[in-house]
Amino acid sequence: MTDSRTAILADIAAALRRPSPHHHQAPAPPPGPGVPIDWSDPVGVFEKRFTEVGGHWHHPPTRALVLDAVLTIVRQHDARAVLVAEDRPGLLDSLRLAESLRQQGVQVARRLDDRNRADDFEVMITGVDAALAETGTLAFMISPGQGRLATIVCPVHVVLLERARVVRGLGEFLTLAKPLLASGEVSGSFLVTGPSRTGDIELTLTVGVHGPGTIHVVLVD
Amino acid sequence: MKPTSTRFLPVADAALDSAQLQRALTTATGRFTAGRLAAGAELANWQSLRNQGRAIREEAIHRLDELLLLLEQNVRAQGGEVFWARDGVEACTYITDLAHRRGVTLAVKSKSMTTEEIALNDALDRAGVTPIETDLGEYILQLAGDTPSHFLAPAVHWNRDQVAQLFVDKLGIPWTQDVGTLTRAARAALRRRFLEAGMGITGANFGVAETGTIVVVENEGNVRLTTSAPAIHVAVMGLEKVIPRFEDLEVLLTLLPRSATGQRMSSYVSLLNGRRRPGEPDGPTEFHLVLLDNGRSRILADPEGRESLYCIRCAACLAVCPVYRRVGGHAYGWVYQGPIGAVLTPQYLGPEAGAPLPFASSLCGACRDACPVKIDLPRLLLHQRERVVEDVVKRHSGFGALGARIAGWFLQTPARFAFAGALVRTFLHLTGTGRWLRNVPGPLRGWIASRDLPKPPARPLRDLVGK
Ligand code: SF4
Repeated sequence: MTDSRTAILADIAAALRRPSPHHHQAPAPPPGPGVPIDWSDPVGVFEKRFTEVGGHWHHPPTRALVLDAVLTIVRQHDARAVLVAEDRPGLLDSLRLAESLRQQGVQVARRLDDRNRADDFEVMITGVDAALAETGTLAFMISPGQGRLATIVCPVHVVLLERARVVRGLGEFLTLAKPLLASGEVSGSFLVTGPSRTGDIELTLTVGVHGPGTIHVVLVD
Repeated sequence: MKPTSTRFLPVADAALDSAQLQRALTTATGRFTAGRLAAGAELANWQSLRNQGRAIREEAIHRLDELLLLLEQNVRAQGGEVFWARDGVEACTYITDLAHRRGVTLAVKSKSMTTEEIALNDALDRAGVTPIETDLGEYILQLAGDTPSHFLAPAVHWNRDQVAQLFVDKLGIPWTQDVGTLTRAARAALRRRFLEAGMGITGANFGVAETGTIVVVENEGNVRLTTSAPAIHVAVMGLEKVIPRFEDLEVLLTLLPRSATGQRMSSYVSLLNGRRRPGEPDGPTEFHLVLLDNGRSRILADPEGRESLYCIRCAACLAVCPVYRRVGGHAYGWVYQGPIGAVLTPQYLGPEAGAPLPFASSLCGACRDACPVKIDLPRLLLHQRERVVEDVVKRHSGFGALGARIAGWFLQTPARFAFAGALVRTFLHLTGTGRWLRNVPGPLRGWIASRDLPKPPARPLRDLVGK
């Protein structure tokens, strides 16, 4: 094992005609992309770009109406069982989302205890760490309350987005994510832009391949 | 994947005769290019982004060993294993041994040209581990025993009727032309597999040295499931995919999706830092990064050729190439197609195995203009032509020397030269009547087959202008 490593490193150093290096120093990062966008209303930019990639946008006028919006979505999809992530107790729990859904006769689970039952759940409801306006992208950090499957496993994804989480684009997201990933605090992060899609058969756009075919964002003021 | 690049001409001929393939290629490449142009035009600084992208890749290649050591250190620090593989055999053996040790008999895979390059599926099969391709295009090809013809849209040469029949035969669904229904059938068939598999295998678009993050870009969500459900995640990464800084992703993740599919961002980008942390509810309990050389350090050793290592596999150069657009991917005969394939194949497999490919280009430069990291593909193609010719000369040095001696004798005096001209003229006029050369023997025939050459006039210019 070490043999291959030593051999490869020696080959590279020989190829570059210099000795193998001993240490590393990161130079300053290059300037990021700039986009001619009107940034006076980043949430508006996000809404536009998110809907352009096929996302469904909901903006209840008051926080009290968020619950109704979510209920309407759940009913619209005829969902009998939903997953409500345990992450962000502040947001999802202050809305008493799980309880309210249960009262409406919807089966609610907070965790996917048995992965083999994943297909029982039609809808997953989660918070989100950042929304990238420039590309209409949602960014999720893995956390104890919201693992990897919680944002991919169901056919419908409902995301509750607090206004303050909207950032301009990739650059700002990378700044947020870097310390968490570099320190090893979390094991990963996902960028999600629109529904799961494929063009593999005759380039015909088809949504809902392995991930959700429908994605809703409910803006929470 | 067994290379068949030397059969470029016959396969290309067959492709030109297939009306269905021609239609598919025209539509697909036209759409890819239109999408790319629109997505690039939207950004005022697209050209400077391309320069930055190139600078990042250039830096990475010139600091390759240093950055790989840093990547290794950071992956290990977060509990991941790193294995350095000199070639495909070492990489495959490491993965099959790991599967054996953990009792894995089923592995789910996401699309990865690097694993095609080392024929990982065959190795897994031989080792008693069933590999399941989960990208829809790759799944179709695996069910059919076919090979990819485009490294982004691997089944671009299949039409819906063919997929329908395949799914009737292999998945037992009723025949349908509805692409949505076909896609759902594949989803249902693969769903179980994600949950049953003991190992998930992916490639890597980028490996960030500074943070130990493996970045995988996709649209279907199969990478997400491959790296979430199985207990072991193995990422197979070509050495050259390393990048220095986390911030570099801002440039590269802007360039790649826009150049590849014309999307502002691909549906899913996974930034993965290894195995699940304590408290996290799911994710693999083991992460293995396989760093694959397999010829890359040899390519690096050629200062004229190493620019091909900058490639981020967006496939933009395929879509604009007048040759790829007509002959399709199979003619290239290996894992990588189009202009970049015509450079990489002889680089990886040697000038003999990849011989015809660098010549399958008009050197129009459309690929260079399309490339998000500004790789000078025409220059690289010329360089590979040189290598192929050098190789042929080396292998036939006897012939070459004899030919040069004969030519040298004829060129020594004007009289000998005139005599040689008369000989050739007479000979060519013996091949038949008419203005054009048609019936010529020997090696000339191949040259004439696709070109028109007028016969030489009865009297050469030298006679007309006088002595
Ligand atoms: S050579 Fe350039 S255009 Fe072609 S696939 Fe690589 S990065 Fe894309």
